[in-house]
Amino acid sequence: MTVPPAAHARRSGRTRSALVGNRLGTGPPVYREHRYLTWVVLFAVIAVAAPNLVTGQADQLSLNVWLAYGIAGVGFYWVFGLAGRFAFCQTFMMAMGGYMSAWITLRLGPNWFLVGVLGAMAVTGAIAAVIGLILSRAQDFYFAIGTLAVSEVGTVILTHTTSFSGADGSTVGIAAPEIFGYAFNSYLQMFWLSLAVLAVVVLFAILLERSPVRRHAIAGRENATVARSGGVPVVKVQVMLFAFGSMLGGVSGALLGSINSTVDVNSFGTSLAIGIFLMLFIGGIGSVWGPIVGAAFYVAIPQVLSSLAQYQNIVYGALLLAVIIAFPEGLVGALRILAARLTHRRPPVEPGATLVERLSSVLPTGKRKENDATAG
Amino acid sequence: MAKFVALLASGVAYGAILMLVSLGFVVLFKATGIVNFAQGDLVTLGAFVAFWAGSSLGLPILATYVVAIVGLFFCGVIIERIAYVPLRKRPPIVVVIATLAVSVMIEGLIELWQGSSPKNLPSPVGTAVWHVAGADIAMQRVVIVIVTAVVVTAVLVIFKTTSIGRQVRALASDGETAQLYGVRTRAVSVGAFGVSASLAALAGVLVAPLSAIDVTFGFALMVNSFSAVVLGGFVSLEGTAAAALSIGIIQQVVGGYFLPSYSDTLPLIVMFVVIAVRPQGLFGLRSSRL
Amino acid sequence: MLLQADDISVSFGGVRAVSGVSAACEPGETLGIIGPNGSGKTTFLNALTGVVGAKGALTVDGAEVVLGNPTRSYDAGLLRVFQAPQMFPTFTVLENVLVSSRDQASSGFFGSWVFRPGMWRHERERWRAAHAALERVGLDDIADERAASMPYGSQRLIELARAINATPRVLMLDEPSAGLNDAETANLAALINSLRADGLGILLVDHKIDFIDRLCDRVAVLELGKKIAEGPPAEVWADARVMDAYLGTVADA
Repeated sequence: MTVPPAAHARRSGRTRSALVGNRLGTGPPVYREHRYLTWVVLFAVIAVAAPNLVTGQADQLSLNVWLAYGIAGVGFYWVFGLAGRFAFCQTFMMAMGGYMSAWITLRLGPNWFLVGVLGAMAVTGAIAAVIGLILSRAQDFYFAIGTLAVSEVGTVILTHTTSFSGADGSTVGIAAPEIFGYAFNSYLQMFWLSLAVLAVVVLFAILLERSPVRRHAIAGRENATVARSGGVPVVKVQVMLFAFGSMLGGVSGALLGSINSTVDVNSFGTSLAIGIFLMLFIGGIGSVWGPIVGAAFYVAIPQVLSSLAQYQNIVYGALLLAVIIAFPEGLVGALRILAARLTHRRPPVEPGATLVERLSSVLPTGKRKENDATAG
Repeated sequence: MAKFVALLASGVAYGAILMLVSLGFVVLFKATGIVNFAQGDLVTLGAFVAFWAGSSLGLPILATYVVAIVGLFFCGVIIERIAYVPLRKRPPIVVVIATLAVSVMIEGLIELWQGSSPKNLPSPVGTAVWHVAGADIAMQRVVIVIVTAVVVTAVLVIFKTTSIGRQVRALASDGETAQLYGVRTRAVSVGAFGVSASLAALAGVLVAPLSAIDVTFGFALMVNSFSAVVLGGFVSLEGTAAAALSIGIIQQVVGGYFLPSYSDTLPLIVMFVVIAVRPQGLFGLRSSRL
Repeated sequence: MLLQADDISVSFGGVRAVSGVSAACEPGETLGIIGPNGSGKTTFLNALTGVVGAKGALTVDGAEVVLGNPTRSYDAGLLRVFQAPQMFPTFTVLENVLVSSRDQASSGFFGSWVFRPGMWRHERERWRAAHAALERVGLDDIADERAASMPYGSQRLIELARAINATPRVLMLDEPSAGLNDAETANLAALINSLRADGLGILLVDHKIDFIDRLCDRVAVLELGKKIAEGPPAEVWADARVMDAYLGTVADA
């Protein structure tokens, strides 16, 4: 290299040193960040701190719900954060997963929980793969509306197929899950289970970040024409990310069913959909951690505002409005920028990482879509 | 035969309502580039305002409609001030999410104001019925169709021929140039928000007498009118109107005969199929092949 | 014949952007494509690379290439450099080049989740090849910089590196000298010649007459979507129809 390393690092805005660098010396920076270490530390901290800090049934319940939402959030990150396709149907996938898992464990017994989760993944993955293929040619906005249609229609179908979803679309009396004879009866035990699942999910997400899939997904998202011309299998990556992301929604729903002992289609309705928006805006979509942080806030709000329960909708709406106006890059993004400023480093502004910029590309323009690359 | 006529009448009436909602949507989009997710809740609000004017103020029915339509015009103006103007410099998507936030707040406010139990709005023609080909058609449906036909025609004509219409179209196709030519963007956007809210109110008061209204009925209506907007490709007012009518008829007739419990989902299924087959909508412009 | 494009036509809603244009290219040959603005040069390249749908026939090394499909064109070794440099904003220079790697083995979910040693093996190979491509255009020292903040001239070269990384058979360059100063233009010309020497076919769309003159073996002239002349540069400049079409552009500029 002709440029001294320190100046080089400063100029490129890389914020991590290359401890592991020399072994992977010639690869892109994303392979040199300490992601595994972060993963270990964060989950260790949660595992130690949470059971001690969070006591009381209601709080423990919220904790578990947060973990489950976090899983769905990682899935949403794959679909929208990585692949760039905004899908309205994640809440439907959660409901679907919840019903599927409940259906299996109610008929076969609680020790079939793992099979229930696998069933939830299979069903949601299959539906998403089909929908993803059908809508693969659609522009981002129409993809979003198409998945909205899927979500609405799917919800209606679920409510009507009472043999699957239970009377009134509500399945109750789900027993505590058992794995190889060990029953997760208490909220604390469910916490360990949920934490383990989230940890595994985030590990898979990290593996994906440190792989060419990330490159293909981002290339397809930022400039599909150029990506395709360069041989990137854009449709394949987007459909697969959509399928896997929806599968995570299914897993989340399955867990939620066990946590709450019931699955009700109403609990995955408009409120949760707005909630996902809140999670995104508060947590940001630039990294896999964003939706997880956002989910924590979303779960905490009813606790903090328990006296204002009847104003819930108004509060959510006002909160969303406030967050949009004040933090275009999400809370996590704002904190990153603040941290960078305090340590006098260049803030890690990834163009297109702010949620607002990313959502902007989803909107229709009502005009002829000009593409600079191919105009002439 | 009687059943078919009844369903067809329902379909035409429902299509008319969808026309009002979807036109309000598209007019606003063309004038400001905003997809207004609060449109559905404005429909609900319009109906509730009329209800309040009738039950609390004791006004006669037609007066309550006027109160609703005029009141919602000002609501639209208020929304323009709080959700659009302060966010003008930000990308349009921020305003869209803001309208989503506003819609949620409106629903909460309505619930606080009038409670969550369903209400009944009286119809100006009472429960009169029109007997045709052996079927009983509620007169309210006839009223809906006639009023909508007049209003929609007026909107289309105004858009195509008057100076205001031309200004809106100019803004829609090239905002900056339009401003340079003196198009008063502020006036147009205020007017667009107001008019589209009034259209929503009109839809609300027209459809409310047909069944009891609750806090979410407007939202459901809006979701179905998305289908009309998508079919129209977000660009063509006539296409949207035609699509709305077709969807209303399909939903009632096909739904009535084949899948009664799923009839509400038919517009969405139609929309999904259209997106899958022709993503830019039936009337939309073809973007350069990517 | 390395590249044989026959009777290519592209229409956009009633407008014929390209009308029955044929072109051919041997290995090591540079074919220039010139013409006034709007004559369909870029659209012709779009057609060959599958970015727009087109009618006609396309053969590369004797094998037929399906039109209208970017992946097929890529598989056939048809790579192109765009008129305005297209950098992926989030990526570094290296990543911008890596996207076009031809070896995509173990680059999917299986490689990422199930058998990572295979992924690493192929990734390192891809990195090596991408660095080599950057080396070829002289930019390997900025491999880890954010591509979007690189100067215009560098971005052009990064695009070229991206195309080279995909081991092209035919390289299509769309006004590559636009916005470059004399030194950069000379550098570019040298690069193009070295690629020719490797046996690539080159299609060169440009406006700078001396650039075309010194690099091209043959020149095709398009006007309003049709080919109006073709031949060695000297012949083409002497052709009256070409002077008409071209002088029209110069007068407007």
